[in-house]
Amino acid sequence: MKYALIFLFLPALSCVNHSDQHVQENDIFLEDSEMKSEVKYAQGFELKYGNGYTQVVTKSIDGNDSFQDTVQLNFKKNTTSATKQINSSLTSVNCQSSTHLAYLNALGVLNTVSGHCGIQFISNPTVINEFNKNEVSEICLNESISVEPLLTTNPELFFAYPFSKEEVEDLKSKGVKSFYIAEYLEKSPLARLEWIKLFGVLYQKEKLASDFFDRAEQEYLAFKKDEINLEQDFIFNLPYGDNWYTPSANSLVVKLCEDAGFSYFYQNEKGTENMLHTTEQVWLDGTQANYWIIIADRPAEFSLEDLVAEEEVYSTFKSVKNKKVIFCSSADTDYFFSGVIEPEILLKDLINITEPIDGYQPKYFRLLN
Amino acid sequence: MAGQLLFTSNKVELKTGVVALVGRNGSGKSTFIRSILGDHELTSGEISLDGGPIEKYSSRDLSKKIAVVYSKPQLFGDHKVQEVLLLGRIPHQNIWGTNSQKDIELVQNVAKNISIEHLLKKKFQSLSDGEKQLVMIGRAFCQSTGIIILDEPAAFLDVVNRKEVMALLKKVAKTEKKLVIFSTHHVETLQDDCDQLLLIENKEMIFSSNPNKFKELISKAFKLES
Amino acid sequence: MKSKRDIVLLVALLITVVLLLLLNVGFVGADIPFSDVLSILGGESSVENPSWTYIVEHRLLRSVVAISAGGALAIAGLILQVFFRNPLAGPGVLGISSGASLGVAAVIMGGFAQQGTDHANMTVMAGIAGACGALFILLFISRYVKNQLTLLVVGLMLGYFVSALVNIMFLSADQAETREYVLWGLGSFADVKRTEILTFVILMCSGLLTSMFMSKGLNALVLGSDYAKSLGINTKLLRVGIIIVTSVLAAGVTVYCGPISFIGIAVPQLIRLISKSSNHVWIIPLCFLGGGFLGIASDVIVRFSDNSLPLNTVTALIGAPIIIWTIIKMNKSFAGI
Repeated sequence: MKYALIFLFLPALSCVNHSDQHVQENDIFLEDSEMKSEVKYAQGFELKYGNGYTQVVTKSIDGNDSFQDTVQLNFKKNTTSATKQINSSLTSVNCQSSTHLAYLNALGVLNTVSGHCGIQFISNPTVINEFNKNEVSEICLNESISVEPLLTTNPELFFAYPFSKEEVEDLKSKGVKSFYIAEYLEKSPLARLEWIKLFGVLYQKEKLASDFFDRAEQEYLAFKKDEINLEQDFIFNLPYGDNWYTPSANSLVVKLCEDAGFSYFYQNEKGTENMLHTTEQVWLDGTQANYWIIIADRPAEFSLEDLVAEEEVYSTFKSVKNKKVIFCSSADTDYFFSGVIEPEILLKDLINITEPIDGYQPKYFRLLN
Repeated sequence: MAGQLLFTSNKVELKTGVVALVGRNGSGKSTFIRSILGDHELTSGEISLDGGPIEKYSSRDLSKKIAVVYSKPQLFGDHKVQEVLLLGRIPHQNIWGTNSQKDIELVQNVAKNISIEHLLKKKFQSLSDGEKQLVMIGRAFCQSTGIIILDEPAAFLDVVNRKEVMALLKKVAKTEKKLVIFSTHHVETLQDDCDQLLLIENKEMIFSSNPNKFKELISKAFKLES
Repeated sequence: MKSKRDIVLLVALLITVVLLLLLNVGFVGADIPFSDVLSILGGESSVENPSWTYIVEHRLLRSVVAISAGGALAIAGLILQVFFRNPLAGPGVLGISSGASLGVAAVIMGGFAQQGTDHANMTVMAGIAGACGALFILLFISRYVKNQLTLLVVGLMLGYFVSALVNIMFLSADQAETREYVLWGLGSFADVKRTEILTFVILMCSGLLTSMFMSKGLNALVLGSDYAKSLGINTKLLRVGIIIVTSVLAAGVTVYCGPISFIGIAVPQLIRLISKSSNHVWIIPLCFLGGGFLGIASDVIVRFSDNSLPLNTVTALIGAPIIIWTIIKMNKSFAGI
């Protein structure tokens, strides 16, 4: 009975939304900032500058789950019929991923977030404060989007993952303007950082975004190693049950490590998806690889001893014997949050391990001891 | 149930032979049977077996003295008839329940006695209701007890099967010198079926060992005119 | 004469289980020469690769766990089938595994399982408590519900109820906790740690032994509780024994290996069809070996698939057809249903 009622109200709600849009289209438009951002690394989005409008296009990179999505910002009345039009500054958006928040935070527009997926999992104090202040709504339940809270917050844009497409397509039919953001598909840390330009365009903060990117890029390139050192070969992460999911050799995190001079143990295995190894296989390889890089949900004070306690076989690993296990606590550091917009720091952290930088204080990665 | 008076009785002593237990529904037949089996504590009075009160017997000791047959045969599993009969030997077996050669011979003898030899290799579940009940009675015989108690053993049987069961009980009580007590609602043929009667009537248990008087007693008790 | 066939069956099962164990330890997984596997098993440590010793030990442990867990589930299923007089009973369908799951969920997601602290014992106790709880609910309900199918439905409802409670716990759990629970739910024989294996095997073997001592009672129980009592069985004690043994076995396996379905029903059915004996003193060890066989066979398949098939998927693939087949075969030979 209760559900029947909800369904009755849904069409009514979406009708209201549509009529709102019509009013906006006729009246106000955005102010053209005249600045044109250039995309150098990222493959997952494009910026198209037209006469009186800018189109932001996001798309799949490898084609294994293909999608394309467009949002158009209007500076005057346009006849182009892109699906989603934005005519005024964004004041209310919803985010499905906490990485989106990192970009918004860097641009100082975190206050426009009115709904987020998985608020309870956020650990960054700045975000928690801001969210408490703005009474941000939880829009997900057990990692799937709940329609009612989302419709209640009525966002001007909903930044969504492309991998929950069906859910999102369903939301579109209910009048929610969703926009696919797939920064995690990028192949390099700089390409991922470049998505800040996309948010810069959406929020008309192109200058801020470009400056932010250029500074980080400059520093990253200054430290980046041009050649990988085969002596510094590494295996990655920890097993999940009987399986050891290792990132693809083309993945962003492997690129980051390679830029720091490390050489991926599985670099010859092709494919763009995560690779699946049996724990047994990795146990064998662990005795060969010189380094072991772990990004995991473990406490800040996690030690080599704790690691071996998890699985005795680790004591036979070359990296463990030589104390060359590089560790980043995703519980303690904001690797999955601020790490997204600080690739130069991630890189310096890693380089600092093989070639200590004078007086450098690492933020994410350290050697386990 | 606790403390409620069902019936009173004078001292009755039963030795061998077939005893029918008759009474209307709710008169206390089942409670009486459960008391004999040690499942129900008497509020007052005493039932004794071989000179000792029945409560003093452990269920293990009691199982060597009294075997029981309930009205509805029930078995979980796809046992053969021989295996069902062997279940009667459980009180006499070691902790592992292994069947000795003696057990098997005894079972075959019982089967011969009650003419179910031809059923031995058949599956119990494939038998007719009458055959099943015969097997359950045979199982009680295999328990090698002096006393066999049957709770409405023929309740679910047709006339022919019932007659067969009754004849069998009478024969065994005589040849093996056993005490057979059965409860029943079939009073018409009592004088043929048994030689002693326990009648519960008006909160009183009456004992009679004169088959000729059975009919009269029952008619009076059940207010039947004949 | 009839026990001869059962001895053959027993020996055949034993040999198959041992062969599968050798296969699982020596030939599935990362490439280690069999001669080295043998020398490692022989206690030698100077082999080519230092991790080989651990790998072989790990394979051996999980194989032992697979065999004893499969065996334990089969025995629990057998006893429950006799106890509830229902050929479709088993720790899974009756909700006993669900009860254990609830205990596990409470420990994992109730914040008891802090990183680094040893919560294995607590989980075991909670699991057994949950399993016992489910059994008591079933016993209580079975007083009022005589229909066998209804009892199975009650068991299923218990399962749904527990998963609802678990979902509620999910709401307040953090990601690491939910991940741990989800992972546990997929089932695996590999999660028993070296330090826990002794407890686990002792738990399972004591269950096996205790149930062997109950076999005479179980023999009598096929006639029903009243008949069993008249055959000199202490039915009250037997009842308590059955509750404890099945709870410990089902909960022990569930806690350590996850909620593993189908083995508990399928194996007793198969063994009853194949074995000639109706004496539980034979049926129990046969079921243990049969369950052990299915357990280790499932693990071999899991590992042949490079762990890409979760254990529960494999047991369902093997177990469900067996159950359907036996239902058809024994439709006639069992009363009721």
